[in-house]
Amino acid sequence: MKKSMLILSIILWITSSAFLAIAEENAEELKKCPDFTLKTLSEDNVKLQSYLEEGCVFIDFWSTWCKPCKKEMKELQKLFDKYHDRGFTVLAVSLDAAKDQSKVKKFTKQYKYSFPILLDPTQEVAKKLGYPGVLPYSLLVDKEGYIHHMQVGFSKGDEKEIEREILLLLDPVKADDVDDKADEADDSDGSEEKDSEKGDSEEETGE
Amino acid sequence: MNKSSFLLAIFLIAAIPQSIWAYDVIYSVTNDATYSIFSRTERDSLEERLELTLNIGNIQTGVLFDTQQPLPTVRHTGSGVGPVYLRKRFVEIEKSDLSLRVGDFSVIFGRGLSVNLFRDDNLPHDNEADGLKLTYQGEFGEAILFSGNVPKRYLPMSDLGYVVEEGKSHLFRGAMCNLKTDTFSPETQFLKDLKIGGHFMRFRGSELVGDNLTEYRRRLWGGMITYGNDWIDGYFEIVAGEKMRLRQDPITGESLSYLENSDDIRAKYGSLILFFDDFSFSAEWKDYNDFNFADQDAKPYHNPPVLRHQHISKALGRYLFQENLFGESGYKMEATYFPSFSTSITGSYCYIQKRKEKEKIFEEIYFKGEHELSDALSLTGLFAKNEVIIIGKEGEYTGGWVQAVYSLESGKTVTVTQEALRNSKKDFTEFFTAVTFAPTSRWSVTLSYDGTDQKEVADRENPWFSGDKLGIDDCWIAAELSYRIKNSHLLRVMVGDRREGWNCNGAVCTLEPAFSGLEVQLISSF
Repeated sequence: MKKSMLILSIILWITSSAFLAIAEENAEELKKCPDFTLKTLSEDNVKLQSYLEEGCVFIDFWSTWCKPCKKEMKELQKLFDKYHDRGFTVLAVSLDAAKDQSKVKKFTKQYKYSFPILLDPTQEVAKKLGYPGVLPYSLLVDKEGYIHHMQVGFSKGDEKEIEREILLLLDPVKADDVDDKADEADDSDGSEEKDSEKGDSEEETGE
Repeated sequence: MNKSSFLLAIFLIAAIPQSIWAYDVIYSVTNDATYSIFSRTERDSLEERLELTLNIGNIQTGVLFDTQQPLPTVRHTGSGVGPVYLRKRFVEIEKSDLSLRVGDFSVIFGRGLSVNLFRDDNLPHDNEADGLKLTYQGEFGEAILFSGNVPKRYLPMSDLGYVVEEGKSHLFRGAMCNLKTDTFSPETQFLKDLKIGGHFMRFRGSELVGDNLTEYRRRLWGGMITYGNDWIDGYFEIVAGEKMRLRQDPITGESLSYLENSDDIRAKYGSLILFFDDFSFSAEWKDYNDFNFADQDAKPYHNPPVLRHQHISKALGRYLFQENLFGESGYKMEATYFPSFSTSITGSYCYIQKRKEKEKIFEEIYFKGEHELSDALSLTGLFAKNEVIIIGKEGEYTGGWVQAVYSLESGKTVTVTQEALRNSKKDFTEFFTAVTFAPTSRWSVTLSYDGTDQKEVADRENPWFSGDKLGIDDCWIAAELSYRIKNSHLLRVMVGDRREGWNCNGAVCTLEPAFSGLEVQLISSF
């Protein structure tokens, strides 16, 4: 590898690492989620802001061919059923190609998802929200539009952490209870990650 | 848009009054870095892609840098594809129902038959349309005006190699609109379920035909109608158009005389799905007559629907049948039975023929089943048999894929995937086995074996092998570690051999070159 080329590559690497460092330094300062407009399955345009007016929103980028996405959406449906009355909603944004729009509808019908399904076939909104090219990719956004949770990939057990984050936004006291219970479970078997490991936990991503 | 106009746009943004800084500046950054060491050639390489998007009030801007060290020279030609280059840049301003975007943009009409411009991240060069897009989204529907060019074009030279042609010769402009039919009668349910739209598009470019420099021109117009509710989803689109070819003066570029003038471009695509309680039936149909935007492949801006399955199975996906646009018609029918959330069975049949000769070129029958036996064990399997009748690729492929996911009581999971494929015409059999062990939700280890009973030579155009270092193999063994750091960072380490060939994930299929050695990848989003 030529020296100059290597230097240029390192510059890019350092730039990205610097962003990482800044992001971690500002971890206390939450990042805002930009508003966006997407089409629903019935081809109506909807804005993120209109959902945020109701409460916190879990934005999940998925695709019909992505197996871990299916697992995640199964868990998201449970969380949606549990907390929708309290203002929580899920926006499942399909990144399937335009021609697969009917496949998305079929998939949604088959698994009886009751949360809104949106379409982003060009991935423009996904990129705007930091989609790194790995599915599923998800963000939890509070009522004011701040991002509280960002995740690449999904494995069984992650839903516990997602639920804790949702509860923190809906009811911080209850979230503490969930944390305490998780800590007790950790202490009892000495495993650090016990609370996020229940069920099958294959590290999966649908690139 | 060239670099100077982009810099001008940046300057204009900077010159906007200071009040703009009263807005929140929202950034998003993604970074994908891959470092590889190829054991056969003892070469190393670093690929990095850094994408930054900024939102300031109602203005959005973004850039994407790409670097590849060293450049795989066989895969690129031309000066614009440098070792570190700006692959994407845009500025977008939104104001109530209107938005204006300058720079890279994507645009789709309906389900993508005629207009389907998007950035394909799997192509290692700037392939997004570059220009101007004006969008209106209001109570009556949506209207889009766009104009631009595709600065680089993907030109396949063989199954596993391609070059990138540069230049601003692939110009296009178009207009499209989609109407909300219920605006005129909000109480009528039929109109609520109905959407209609139309488009007009023209484009032109230059290409060499034999020794002659020619200019090609296309004009396309068409419309779509879609009707959908809880029990039906129907879509139909038709495109008509004319094409011209003119001889060009090789020095001045002036168009001299017509070589060809035809109004025979026709393309139709339809899909229908009927939904019942626990059953769905779908049918797709296409008819493409001379529906090629250019004589050479115009992939970045012409991506109409295809009918065949894009298999998740590695072996079946590797022998992907590629549909063309010159003169094909075909249909696909599919039925799915899903008695419960944990069980589904799908059966499908696809038939594609040459449009004029009515000769079969592809036929496939496909079954897939999924069942969760319990919380601890889930099984997925598929079987496909297809016949490809294209010289050089012909075959009768029969393949199967089974995956079992078993969850241990302690929260650990084991996933076993087994595939087999047989080509009865060319008389070879292939197997693929993968075992994944995930001790926690954060990390996993996968061991894979990919084998065939015929020796395979890695393609000579593969940038990572050359000359006498070409791989001649019949088995490829690899180990992969995957670790998720802080939820939004993913680290992957792969050691071993990877076989070359198509790798399909959903609608996106890429040709992965053969690889031997170590590969470390870090994907981050922050």
